[in-house]
Amino acid sequence: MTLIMRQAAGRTTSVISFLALIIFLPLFILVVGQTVTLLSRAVGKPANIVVDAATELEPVKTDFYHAFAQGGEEATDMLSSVQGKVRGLQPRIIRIDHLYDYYQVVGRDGNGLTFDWSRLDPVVTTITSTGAKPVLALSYMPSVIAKDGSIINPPNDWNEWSLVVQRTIEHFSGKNGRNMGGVYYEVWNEPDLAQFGSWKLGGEKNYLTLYRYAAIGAKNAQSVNTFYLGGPATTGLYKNWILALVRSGNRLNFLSWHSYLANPERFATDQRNLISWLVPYPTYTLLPKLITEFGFTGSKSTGYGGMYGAAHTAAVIRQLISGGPTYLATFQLKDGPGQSDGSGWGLITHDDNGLREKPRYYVFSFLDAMAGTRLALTGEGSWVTGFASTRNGVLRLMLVNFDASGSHSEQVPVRWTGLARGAYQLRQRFLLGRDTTTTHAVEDGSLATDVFMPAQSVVILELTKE
Amino acid sequence: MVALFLLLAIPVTVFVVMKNQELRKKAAPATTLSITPVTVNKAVGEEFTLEVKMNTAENQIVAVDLKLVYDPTKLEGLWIRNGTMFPNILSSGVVGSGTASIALGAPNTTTPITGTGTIATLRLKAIAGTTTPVTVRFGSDTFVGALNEGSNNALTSSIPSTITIGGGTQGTPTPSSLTPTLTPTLPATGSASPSAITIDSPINNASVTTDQPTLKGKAPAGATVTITIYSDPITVTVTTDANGNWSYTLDQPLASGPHTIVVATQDPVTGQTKTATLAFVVATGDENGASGSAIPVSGAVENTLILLLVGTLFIIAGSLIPVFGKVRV
Repeated sequence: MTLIMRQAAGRTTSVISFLALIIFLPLFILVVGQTVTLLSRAVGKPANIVVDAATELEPVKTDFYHAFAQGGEEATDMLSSVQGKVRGLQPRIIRIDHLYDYYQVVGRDGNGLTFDWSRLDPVVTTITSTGAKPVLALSYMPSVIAKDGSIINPPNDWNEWSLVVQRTIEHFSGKNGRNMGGVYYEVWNEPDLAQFGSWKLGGEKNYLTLYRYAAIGAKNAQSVNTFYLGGPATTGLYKNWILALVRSGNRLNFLSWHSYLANPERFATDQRNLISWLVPYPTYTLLPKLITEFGFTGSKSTGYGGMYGAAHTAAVIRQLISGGPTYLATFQLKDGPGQSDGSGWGLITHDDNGLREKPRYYVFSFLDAMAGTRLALTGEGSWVTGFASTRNGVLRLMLVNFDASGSHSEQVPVRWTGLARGAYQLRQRFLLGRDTTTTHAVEDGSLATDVFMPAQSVVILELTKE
Repeated sequence: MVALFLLLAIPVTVFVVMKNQELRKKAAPATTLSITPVTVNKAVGEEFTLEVKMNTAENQIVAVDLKLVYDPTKLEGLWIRNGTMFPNILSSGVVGSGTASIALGAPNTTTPITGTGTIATLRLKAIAGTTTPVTVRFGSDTFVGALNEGSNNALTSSIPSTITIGGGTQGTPTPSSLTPTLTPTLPATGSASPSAITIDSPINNASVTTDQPTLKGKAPAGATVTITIYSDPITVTVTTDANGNWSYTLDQPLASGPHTIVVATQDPVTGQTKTATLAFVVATGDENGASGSAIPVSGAVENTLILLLVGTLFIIAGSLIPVFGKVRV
């Protein structure tokens, strides 16, 4: 065979092999994915819930999840058109970012920096009018002080960044300014993300430097009410970022991070990890912890428009109902424009899509019914989780069936123990679903029932002695 | 003169400072943890509560990351909660297989915790007898954070609890005494020793199409086997035949959906209770629309097989083509 023929045969072989590889690889990945899905489902554990009415634990907190964030979908007062609906969420805090780039606060004239709050003030006023305290993410770098004018760059002069922070605090928290108490100032937003500057813990774009000069600004703020300065507002909970900030010695009033995790249990794991990192730093262990954005994915997803998102939210709240953060802020309140396909993060659709509440909107008030004293509960499963409480003689059990990857449904056995003899009414109230009441007799101190939990469903069972 | 003074003063000063540090260290407050009661005697199936006590000594405690460890083959953790000493739960109480943990904090750093008291309560169930006592002890990663102690663990010593579990209720395996003791623990045991008890039918996590299935298994010949079907629960006893086989067909229908079987018998030699558990699903097409399978279905197995086949063909093709190419050369 000639050299040309050998080369041709080799080339043909390579082309065919390459084509085979191109076709096979996606198939292989698909197969592996499906197999993993099947295997992971096969090892799951169904729930078998037992509520011990005689064993009371700690008070159930329902305030921590009344926290929300609004992203920079539009450089306007986005929440003004949904003010009433947001008020209905009974928000304790509302977080915004893009303070300096969207609302053109900082300018410069011959005498130095100038400050114009006329565009940002209405946004903050809308937040406070809903009953919430603002969480202001000090972001991004005002272009007039930024290197190369880029809003994700360090400033040319760090002292100017300090001044910007000082004036911001004096404006909102100052007794001669807006005179607001309890405002949270979070240094930057997702500094580790390339989109927001890809800040590091060293080098030219050192987040610790950014924070330090923000802390200097906070220290210089005059005649101000109580306010809180914190960070690092990273895209996840990262030990090196948290400990670097703790060890930096700067003013630190709260720790914050974002959590976009499909697995609700990871939220509880994060809490445990964080405490284990902080416990050797006693003066920081008890700092307020704020998850200033959370969801099941950081990407847009139609899951946010349906029961998937609602069930995920309820499942996360269940994980954090004991020993959770100070605030867990749902991202976000309102869709941006052009998201009529339902993939937006919002609890409420955009003005161009009817300003309608999505299922996730209703989770928070639904779960408020669980306020009271938590009861001992055993038998949570891989998909169905929950917690129980008692208040004014009424026993309640919240169950959520969240399946991150499919459509798992489950018939859940529920047994209540430690009951007094007598007749009871059992109400089953599904989130955005059926509401039924049945009567039961308790003879031996316990009551057994079943609850069918469709995929991505949330239910509260109320047991009341007649 | 000055140089002579310095020569004498420096070593003396260093010595005095070191001595003071040593004295301070010796006098340093020693926080202790203990589990009470220190000794516990229980029977299999009994539930009991242990209290975790703290004596802060002179320390000002801010937080405790509490980790407890026990033998999961003898004890099952039910729950852990904070005690009155620490009102602030920093991370939730978790009981796992052989571990229990909770992180607790003072209300704030200006009001740290001092004194003695109960910091946590652990509820356990004795699930198997012990030949030698087992302990509930503190994990090595238990950490007590105190003001003015820097990053040092303020915990200096701890006292575990020693648990002895007797044959107890399994000595008389009547349904009424065993029922409350056999809370199912998944997954099924699967690999039992020859002297142990097994459940051979149905298969773990299988679906059965009848609501009155026959349960079968093995246990020592002549043994009394207590069968409990959750979650109703239904409890019956049967006796194994000369070959050690036991069998029971339900005389009442089970509801559609998942169920758990727990079987127990007393080892004739050791007197210990042997148990086995498994889960199965009654899939008789109930009106609630339950999936009817212990393995929830979302992906189709057929699709997976087809894709595997196609993928394999491509692998073969990808392997053979270069080989043929070389042959031609």
